[in-house]
Order: sequence, then C-alpha cells, then structure tokens
Amino acid sequence: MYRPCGECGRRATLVLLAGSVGSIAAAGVQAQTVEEYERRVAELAGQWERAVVAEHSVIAGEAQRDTLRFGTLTLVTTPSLRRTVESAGTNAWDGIRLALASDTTMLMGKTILALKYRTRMHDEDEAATWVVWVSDTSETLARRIARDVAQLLMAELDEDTRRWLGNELPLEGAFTVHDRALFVELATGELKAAHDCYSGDLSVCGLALGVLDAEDPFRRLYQPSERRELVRQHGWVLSNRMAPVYAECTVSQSDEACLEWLRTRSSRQNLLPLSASARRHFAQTALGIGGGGAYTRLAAGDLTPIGQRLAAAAGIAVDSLLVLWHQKVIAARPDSTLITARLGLTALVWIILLALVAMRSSRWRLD
Amino acid sequence: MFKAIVYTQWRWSRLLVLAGTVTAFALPIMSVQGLNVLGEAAPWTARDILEHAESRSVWYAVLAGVLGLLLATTVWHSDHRGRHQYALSLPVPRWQFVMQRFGAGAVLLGAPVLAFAAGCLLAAASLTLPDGLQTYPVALSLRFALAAFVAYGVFFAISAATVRTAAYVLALVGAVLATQVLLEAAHIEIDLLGTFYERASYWPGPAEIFTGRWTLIDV
Amino acid sequence: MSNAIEVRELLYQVKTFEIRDFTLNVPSGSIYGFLGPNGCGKTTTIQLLLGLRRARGGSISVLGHAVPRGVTRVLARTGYVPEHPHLYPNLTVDESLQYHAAFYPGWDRDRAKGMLSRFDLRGSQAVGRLSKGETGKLLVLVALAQMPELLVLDEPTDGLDPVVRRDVMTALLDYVSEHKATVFVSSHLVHELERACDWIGVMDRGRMVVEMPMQSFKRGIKRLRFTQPPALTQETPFEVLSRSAAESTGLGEEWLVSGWEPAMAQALESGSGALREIVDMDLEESFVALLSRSRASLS
Repeated sequence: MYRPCGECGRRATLVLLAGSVGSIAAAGVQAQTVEEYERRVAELAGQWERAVVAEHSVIAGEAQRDTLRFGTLTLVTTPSLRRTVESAGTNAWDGIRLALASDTTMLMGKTILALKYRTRMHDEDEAATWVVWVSDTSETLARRIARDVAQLLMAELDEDTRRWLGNELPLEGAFTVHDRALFVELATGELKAAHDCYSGDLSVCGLALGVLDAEDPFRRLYQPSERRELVRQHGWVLSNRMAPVYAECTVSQSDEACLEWLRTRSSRQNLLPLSASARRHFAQTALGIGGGGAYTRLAAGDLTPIGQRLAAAAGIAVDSLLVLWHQKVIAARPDSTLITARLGLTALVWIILLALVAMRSSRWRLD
Repeated sequence: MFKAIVYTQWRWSRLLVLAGTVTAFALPIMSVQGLNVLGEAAPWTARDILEHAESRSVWYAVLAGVLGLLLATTVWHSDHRGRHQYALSLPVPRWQFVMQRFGAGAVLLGAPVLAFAAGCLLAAASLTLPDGLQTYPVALSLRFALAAFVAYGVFFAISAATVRTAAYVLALVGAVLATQVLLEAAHIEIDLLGTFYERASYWPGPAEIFTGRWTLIDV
Repeated sequence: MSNAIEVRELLYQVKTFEIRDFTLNVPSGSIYGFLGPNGCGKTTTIQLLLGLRRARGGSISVLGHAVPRGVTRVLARTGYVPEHPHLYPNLTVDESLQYHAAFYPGWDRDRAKGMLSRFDLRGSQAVGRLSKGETGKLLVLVALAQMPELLVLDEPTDGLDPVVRRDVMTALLDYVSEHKATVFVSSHLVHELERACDWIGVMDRGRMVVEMPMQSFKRGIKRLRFTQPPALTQETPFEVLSRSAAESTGLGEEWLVSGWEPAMAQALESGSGALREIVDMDLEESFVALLSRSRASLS
C-alpha cells in the first residue's frame, strides 16, 4: 500500500549536500600536484632564510661580552648567559682547584668562551682558545668546562705525550678512568701481556704501558700469534720497502719478519698491549700521588721519556709508581652484580606482594 | 593441614619437580663444559670464557621462569577443574587456604632451587680459571632462587584470580596494545609498550631479577 | 524447637534466574526433605546456605552462625554431599580421605575405615576412575566420617541403582539415629524422601511453595469427591488446590485440597454439600498438585 513520504524532500537535500561535500573533498585531495609541493618547499625555504637572518641579528646584538674570573680560570660569555656560566664556573672551579692545586697557574692567560651559538663570527675571536656550547643546566656546563680546562693543559704537553695519553689528560671531572675499569681490562685482556700484568709481573706492566723500555719489547710483550695479528691490524701503513716483510710475517707466518716489521714502527703508542685508557689511568695515578705541581712537572722536560716524566710528576721512582698503581688496580675488583642488597630486597618485596594479592582471591566463583 | 596440602601438591606436580630438579642440577654443570684452562694447549682466554659463560647464562633465567610458571599453574589446576567447590567447602578461610597452597608450592620449588645451587657449586669446583676470573655459585644460586619465586608468585597470583579478574587483566592488556597501535597509526610517538617493559624490567619492577648478568663466571 | 537452618527473605539473582522472598526453617534434629522440580533452584539454595554463592539480600543462619560471615565455623560442623562430585579426581580414595581428614579435627578414622569396607571401596583406586555409585558412596563416607552436626545432601542418590541407593540411605539414617544430626536433603525423587523425612519443603521457580511436617503434608492433601459440592466461603477450613468434574461418573466434582483434617468430613456432610468419597494422595501426587496450584497462582 502506497504511503506518501513526508520526510523525503528533507532526506534528498541531505544526500545531495553530502555528495557535494564529498566530491569537493575528493577534488581537494587530487589537487595535491607537483606544483603545490614545489610552492610549499619554496615557502619553507623562505622561512628558513628569514630564521637565519634573525639568528645573526640576535648574535650581532649580543656582541657585548662579560668576563668572569674564577681564580686563574677565565670564562667569557654574553650578558644573557652570565648567570648560568657563573654558576657552572663556580662548580667547575671548586673541582679544578682541588685537582690542580698549585698547577692552576698553568691556566693563566687562557680563556674559555662560553657562548650559545657556534658560528664563523666567533671563530674570528683570536683571544678565544676554546668555545663551549652552553647547555641548559649548569651541571653539564661545569663538566664541559672541566674537560676544556683539561684540553687547555693538554696543549702544554708535547705531541708524543699527548698521543700516549690518547689526547685526553685526566683531570678530576674530565677524562678520568675508573679503577675497576682497569681491573676488568687486565683481568679479561685478550693478550698475554695484560694477563701477566694482572698476575703481578710489573716489568710487563711497565712495558705494556710504555713507561719502561726494554731491548726487544715486542718479543717480551707478545706471543708469536699476537705479533702476527698486530702486524695484520696495522699493516695498512705499508711502505714499498716493508711490503715483503709484511707478507712474510702474515702469509709465511715468519715470527722474525713480524718482529722486524714491528721494530721499524716509529710510533709505538698504538702498538702497546694496554689501551689508552690504561695509560691515562696510570697518568691519573701519578698525578694524584704527585699532588701540587704534578701537572707542571709532567709538562716540563719535553724530551724526557714518558715514564720518567710521570715519575717526576708523582715524585717517586717509576718502579714504585708501578707498584702503587698495580695495587690500586688489583684492589678495585668490581662487586658482583649478580645479587645486590637492593635487587634481593626488591625481589623479596615482590614475592610477598604477589602472595598478598593472591590472598585477595575471591570466594565468589560460582556466581 | 599444611602437610596434607603439600602432599597433594607433590602428587600433582612430582614429575615436574623431579624433572626440574634434574635439569636445575645439570644446567650449570653443562654450561661450563669444556671451559677448563689447562696450560698452553687450552684455547680459552678470559674473554672467551666470559663470553661462553654469558651466552649460556640466559638458560638460568629461562629455567627459573619456567619452573615458577609451571609449578604455579599445577598448584591450582585441580581446583580450577572443580571450580574451587571443594576448596571452598572446606572449613578454612579462603585467604588461609591460598597461603597454604602458596607455601606448598614454594616448598616444592625449593627442590630444584637447591639442586641448582648444588650444580653451581659442583660446576665451580670443577673449573680451573685464569687469574682475574672467579665463580659466583652462591650469588647465582640466590638469584636463581629469587627469580624462580618471583615467577612463581606472579603466576600463582594470576592463577588464583577469578575468571572475571583474569578477563579484566586481559582486557587491560588488550586496551594497551590497541592504544599503542592507534598511536602509531596516528604517528604519535608515545611508546606505551616500551614504557611498560622498562617499568617491569628495571628497578623496582618484578622482572628486574631476570634482567642483567646471570653468569656463573665473572671478574 | 530451634532451627539448624534459618533463611529469611533470601534474594539471589543471576542472569535469567532469580530466588526471591525465599524463607526456610529447618528444625534441629529433623530430616528435612527439600523437594522441587529440576531447575527450580535447589542446588543454588544449598550453595547459598554453605557460602558458595553470595546472596544479594535477606539473611541466612546455619547452626547459629550467619552466612557468609561465619561460614568457616558452619563448614566445620557440616557434612556436604554435592550434586556433582567435588573431590580431586587424581587422588586415590585413601589419599582423599587423608586429605579431607586433615581439615576436620573430629574425623573418625575407624568409622571411615568401617564404611570403606561396608561400601566395598578400594583405597588404592583413583577417585576419577570410580563408578557413579562408588563415587556417591565415597561422598557420603567423607561427609559422615567428619562427624557433622548437620548433613547437607544435594540429590545424594540421583542416578544410583537401587542397591547403592539403599546402602547410602541406610548409612545416613544409621548415622542420624546415632548422633541426632540434622539432615537437609534435596531431591526430585519424591518417593525416596517420603519414608525418611519428617519435614518437607517444596520449592518451585525460586520460591518456597510450602514447608510443613511430613505427616501434615501427607495427611493434609486429599482428593474429595462430591456428588454435590458445597459452597466455598471464607470460613472454609481447607485450601482448594483444584476443582474438576468427577472423572469416573461425570456427575459432581472432584476437589484437590490441602490442610485437610478428619474432623472436617463431618462438617462437610452436615453442610450444604454431599461428600461422596475422601481419597488419600501419595506424596508424588500431592507434590504435583501443589506445583500446579503454585504455577497457576503465579501466572
């Protein structure tokens, strides 16, 4: 039976409207052509250029400098960053002063710039020695300042010493090595020299660190297979003259050839069996024992072998220094992380907690 | 009463306990097979030994988790079958009954835990290690015990819950998963699953005891 | 006489089933037969009495303790035989008895042993492997060896052959006569309860239809045949459950009544009606008549 539709006109209008909106939307999606994308890219590039100009004008506006002095440490910054740098500098100086003692005089005449942006403008500042990024917290900035002070002191050392240290001079708060890290290196070292040093052969320790010398250190420090592997690792520094020696060592496995190749290396730092971290730790120990003036003594005597310089820095003979260093390392066996009080207690608490949760198990199971 | 509950527990899970005990005893011994350093002929260096030991150590954590899980499920299996009618018709408060079940399972879990300790001690005694390395049989056994009991506790609590509670928990897990999928589809960088994993696996989460180093041999 | 079980206006709802305004009084020392058709809520009621389900309203008191608050004390003094076996199927008979005994300080080891041999059950057999009859016997054994003051039996002989049924009922009745325990037994087998019970309660569709001493129930429901039915007034002392034309003669009427007492016959004969015959009903007929009446009044 026919029933006239009172609502039909309204429904039809709604359908037409929905269809129109849908078509327009579809048309809009299809209009994302290449031209549209290119226009958008150009727009973003323009925004970028404007941002760079604005950045430069901000920097230009901050050409004014504030100089902050903490003892012999000089920090230069902009007025807007003064508070942060002042706080960080105070923190950093306390540690540096304790670590360097009288050696803080080595910082006289040196400046550290503490600025927000690194641009070409600041590279033109000749008085600046180092530029430090200013981060948000004064704690991280204090650490950066300590590292840069260490780098400033490093600049006083000769190239051989810098290379021996791995270009990082240990200073409290910067580039220090944990005693237990050394323990692990000696206890788990792949090379026999590390193992012998751990076991107490101090002459091997000294040779492996490069602070003692011997007639034929490579014969003393390495096994034949280790020598061969060492040559293979560093053999990319080949000269035509040494190529046959290299081949005889690595292919024919002639130990004498390996020794000959190793003896011809001018720079031995990267051929030492203990790492730069180990050497840095040794230096750290010497400087710590030496107290005031240790850094100055280390920096003095360009041509003196590193072992003697470290002994001078420490104020004791190199043999005694080795003994003290070895004792310190062996005493630093890391605690086992298998089970700690915190771990055990946390587990116990969880067991009890879970048992209590289970106790709340409902009686009502048939409902 | 507790003795009776322990006895029934034993009846239902004796095969599991026996198998677990044998496995727990054998695992540390098997994990150090061939590691003895005997002079120049031996190829093992300290680092090799550590790597070898660490690669096998994951099985300690797995065994602890599996033992805890299986024992917890056998504890409640017979009660689940009968919809807990028998247990609920006994003259003992529910919480007390649950505690006794927990204790009974814990007692039985003690067997593989002790066996693991014995295996660790035997494995440690059989090793000759280079200077600088040493064994930690007691610490490892303690960790194994705690991990096994944490796993037991987790699955015991889950098994003790009603079907409705389990459904709520599953619904919650499902909701988290679904939310993560939706967030990723909308390119919103919120990592719910990662957060949950971190909370559980690091202090003070329950899974912290399972993560980290489990090796019998270390510096 | 105090009641071993007292239920007042119990309310329980789950999905499409409801127990509403349910009241129950089980006198101490009685053998109470709890009758009702399948699905009327007998098992649910029993589970509510023993704290296995949670009522939504009303009050339950068993052996003087409120349920579920004091349910542990109730269960310590109650022997329960459920409709479906609840013992752990993977234990042997001996192990089941040992396990159960651990929860009941009053467990009678000698009685258990005696019943084991009386019921011819082997201790080494797994509970899950027992036959239906053997399982039924074991459940009764376990309940009785506890030495309970109250026995709650949910269709204890359902599905059992007559021999087993007899053994079970005999053991129950022996215990009851020895220890004067209260028995609450549910069944849909009317004839089984007729001989043993001294109280009866009839449940239908979640409601209590009638609750009275067994003798009153049996004696009180009669079929009255009238050649001339009397007029019903408010003073009529009995309740007419149903009226129909007399089947045999087609003349007069047949009434099914409850609350009948012998003295009423004389009153009827001297009244306007002409009472032809009074027919005794057995329990089953009475039960069916009551249910029909109850359903008719509900609809």
